[in-house]
Amino acid sequence: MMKSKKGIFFTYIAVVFMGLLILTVALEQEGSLRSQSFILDTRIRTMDAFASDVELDISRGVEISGYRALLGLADYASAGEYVDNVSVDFFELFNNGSLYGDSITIMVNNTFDDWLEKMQLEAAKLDIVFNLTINSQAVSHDSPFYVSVYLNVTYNVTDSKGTARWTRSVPVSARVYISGFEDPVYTIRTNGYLRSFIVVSSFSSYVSDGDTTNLQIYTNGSYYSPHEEGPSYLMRLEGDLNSSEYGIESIIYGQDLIDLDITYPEIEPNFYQSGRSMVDYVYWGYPGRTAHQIQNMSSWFRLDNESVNSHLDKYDVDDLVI
Amino acid sequence: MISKSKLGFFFSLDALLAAAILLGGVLLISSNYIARSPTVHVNHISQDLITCLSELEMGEVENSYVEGLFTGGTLSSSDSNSSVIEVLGKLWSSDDITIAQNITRELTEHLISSNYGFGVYANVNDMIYQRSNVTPTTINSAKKIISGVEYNRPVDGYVASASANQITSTHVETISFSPQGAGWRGRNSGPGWAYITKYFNISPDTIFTNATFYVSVHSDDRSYTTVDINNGACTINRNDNCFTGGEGAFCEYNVHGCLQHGINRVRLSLRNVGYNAHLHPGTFLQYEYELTESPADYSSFVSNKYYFDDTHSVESAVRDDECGAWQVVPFYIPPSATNVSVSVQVVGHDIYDYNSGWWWFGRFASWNGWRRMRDYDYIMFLNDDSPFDSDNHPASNEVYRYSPNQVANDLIDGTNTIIVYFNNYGDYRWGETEVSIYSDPFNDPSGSSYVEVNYTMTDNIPEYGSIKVTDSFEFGGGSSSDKTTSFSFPAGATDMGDVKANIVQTTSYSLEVSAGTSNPPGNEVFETPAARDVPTTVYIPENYLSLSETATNYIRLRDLGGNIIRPESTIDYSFYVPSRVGIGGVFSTAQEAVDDAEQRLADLVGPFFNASNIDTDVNNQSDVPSLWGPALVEVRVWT
Repeated sequence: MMKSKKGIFFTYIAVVFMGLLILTVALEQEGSLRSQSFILDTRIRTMDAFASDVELDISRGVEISGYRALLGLADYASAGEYVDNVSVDFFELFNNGSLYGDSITIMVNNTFDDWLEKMQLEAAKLDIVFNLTINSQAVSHDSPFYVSVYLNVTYNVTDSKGTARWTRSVPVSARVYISGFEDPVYTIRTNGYLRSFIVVSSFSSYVSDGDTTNLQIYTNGSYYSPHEEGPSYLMRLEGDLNSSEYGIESIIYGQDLIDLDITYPEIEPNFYQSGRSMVDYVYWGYPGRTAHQIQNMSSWFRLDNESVNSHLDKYDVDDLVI
Repeated sequence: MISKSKLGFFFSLDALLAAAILLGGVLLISSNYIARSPTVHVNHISQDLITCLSELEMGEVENSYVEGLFTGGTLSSSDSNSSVIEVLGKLWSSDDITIAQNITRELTEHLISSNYGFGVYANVNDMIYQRSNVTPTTINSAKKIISGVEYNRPVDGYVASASANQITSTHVETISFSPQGAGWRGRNSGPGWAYITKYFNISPDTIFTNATFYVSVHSDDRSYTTVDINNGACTINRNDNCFTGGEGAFCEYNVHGCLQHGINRVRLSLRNVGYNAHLHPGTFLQYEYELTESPADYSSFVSNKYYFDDTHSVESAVRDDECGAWQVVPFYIPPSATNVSVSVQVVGHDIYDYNSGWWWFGRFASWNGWRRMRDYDYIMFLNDDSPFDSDNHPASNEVYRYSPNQVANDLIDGTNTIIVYFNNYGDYRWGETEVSIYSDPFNDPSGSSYVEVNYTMTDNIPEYGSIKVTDSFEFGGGSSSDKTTSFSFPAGATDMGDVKANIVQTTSYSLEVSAGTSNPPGNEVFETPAARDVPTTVYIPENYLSLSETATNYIRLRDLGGNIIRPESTIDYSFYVPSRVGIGGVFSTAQEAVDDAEQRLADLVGPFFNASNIDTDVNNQSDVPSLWGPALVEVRVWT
């Protein structure tokens, strides 16, 4: 080999060596960056997963605290006094676990604040700082037998080392099925002697060919059904017997009232007032309405015919009016 | 110079080195990519799996095993709206691990390639399901937080409230006799008499446990029967040892066996040979009884009818001009009462019309003292020492009626008093043969003397379902013209009932009663407004007292004339306790919730009633969620 060709070869070798050296260093550098990126990626994924978890779990917290707050209101009213303002009183229970300043047992460790504390503890285990504020809150019906709790919350999730942080505002809602809840109107109107719990009627027809069996079962069991002239359950907690598009009604089993008058003759006025429609909100809220006796029903059974959706129509007794 | 063979060796070595470096570089690069690839895969798989489990609702699952759980009742309809992971958490919390395992297997086995192992865990260590077909070299996990789930805690529990339908409790009732009397100036040869008769009703359901009659009389003839209860069931003679004192005498007598259910009659026959025979403040019959009752209904409208006692004064047979009768009647109007309406009826029998007779014949001849009422045979005072009404020309049997409008301006908050005089006033007396302040409330209620008080309470109305608790205690200590006692209402009392002081004196003049929560109490609640106007019972308005168990209520009795107030003076007080406990904690079973409610009710009323006599009416509610946990459900995937 010639000397000049050797030089080119050595130069080539040197370039290859340098290239390999640079490649090795570059790869190591990339590996380090990739490692850092992987850690960051994992961290952000963890925070994202936590935030997603929280968003999913808020409604569970709202549902649990909401159910108990509603139960607390019903229990308070059942002790003899309607609640002043459902919207205000509900959220005192929901957030603070108290009603008119008094702690309520059913809410102990079950308020929405308790849920938030638990989430903050879980966040702390992941080195995340979690905060949440309620921007707005409301409780209302969206159907006769469901009470819905609506929140708009803003939460922020912050990595304790300051790696990442994000803030989001989200609407949250949860529904509470009111089956089994006490209707305070019965309790208070009868001074605690008669109690009624919401049992949703499954009857689609009450009378067929003069057979009133279903209507009797419906009445004897004090089942509840929707009626747009009746008060909603939340209104009942306030003692408000006006109408609601989410109104519900039951028919009072009149014999219970008659029996109360026999047991407590000293109480005036009598619990049973003859001639009134036995639809609960009409009996106690609209005593002056004309009410009709119905064939094949007890002598105390009366229905009015003045409501928007006539009770005679609703209960299929148009043809059975005496 | 390098030889050719050495040069070949050098080049060969050089090529080898270059090849080694190139190979090393390739290995380095490839190993980097090979090492990272499985980690990324398992990460995605674990995330995908937990997303799938947390977003898929049980009701959406089309799987015969899951459908069988619904139809078999293992899962309820409310579970259909829950996510799979929530249901797994619920099953884990109730230790139904096998079902949780089966659900997980059914829903995930076909989703995860057999090249991977995976498992579902709760709270890190509790395995719900695991597929261990691959030995883990690379492992990744994804987690979900589920509030309301905790191992061995009911996701949905029971609550219960309880109320006592019937309770047997001990009560104290005081039948108060206010000062009254006459039978003026009898002599041994012809004593004057004052006959005082009170009727009261006792419920047939009561069981008497104790009864004491406190008798404070001014009667100077000791040789006759003084008290007759229920027509001879019990008698107390004036000369019994129980009476202490002179003309003014006091006796505390056990009358436990003397009372009866229904109408009771107590008749005091006070024989007098000097002054006028009368009751002093301090005559009252107090009985304790057990009563089984239902929680009452307390109306805001209150109506009380205070009947007078029948006071029958008979003059001395040897004096012909001195038979007047008198009586004090207290009644109560709470300061917070509204729409107060008080009507009064006073009925006199055999009233002598002084002006119709000959003034010089057998009538009193001198008005040397307190004369201002001399022209009146009927005088009535209402909360004042000026007469509310008088009559100088009554019929023999006269009825005086006062409408609510007539008396309205003379009423006061707290203890009101009426004093009625027929044919006497102060220590002056006249009359003919006999005279009565008539009352027979059970046989002739409309013809009797009474005060009817109606009012509406806007505050302080006991909650319905409350049980009234009554108690009484004596002042104790020594006799004094100035006595103070104190008491506190117990914890658990929700409303205050009546509080009354029963004053025992053997002579009286002018009484002042004060109350408050500091000592000495600064709120005067009663001061004698007129002569003889010292009732046995003075009501203490509740606005001067505190219901708090930490507060001390003081009541002070002071005789402004220095007369002795005896230690047998008592305070009667009442308060209300609820007979219902609302919902409490949440329990796994209905029975546990019921037991808890009954125990809370027993704890609540136990200090006041016999717990064994509580009849409970329990309502329980199921499906109450709790903020247990949260649980962490974790999916791990490995390869």
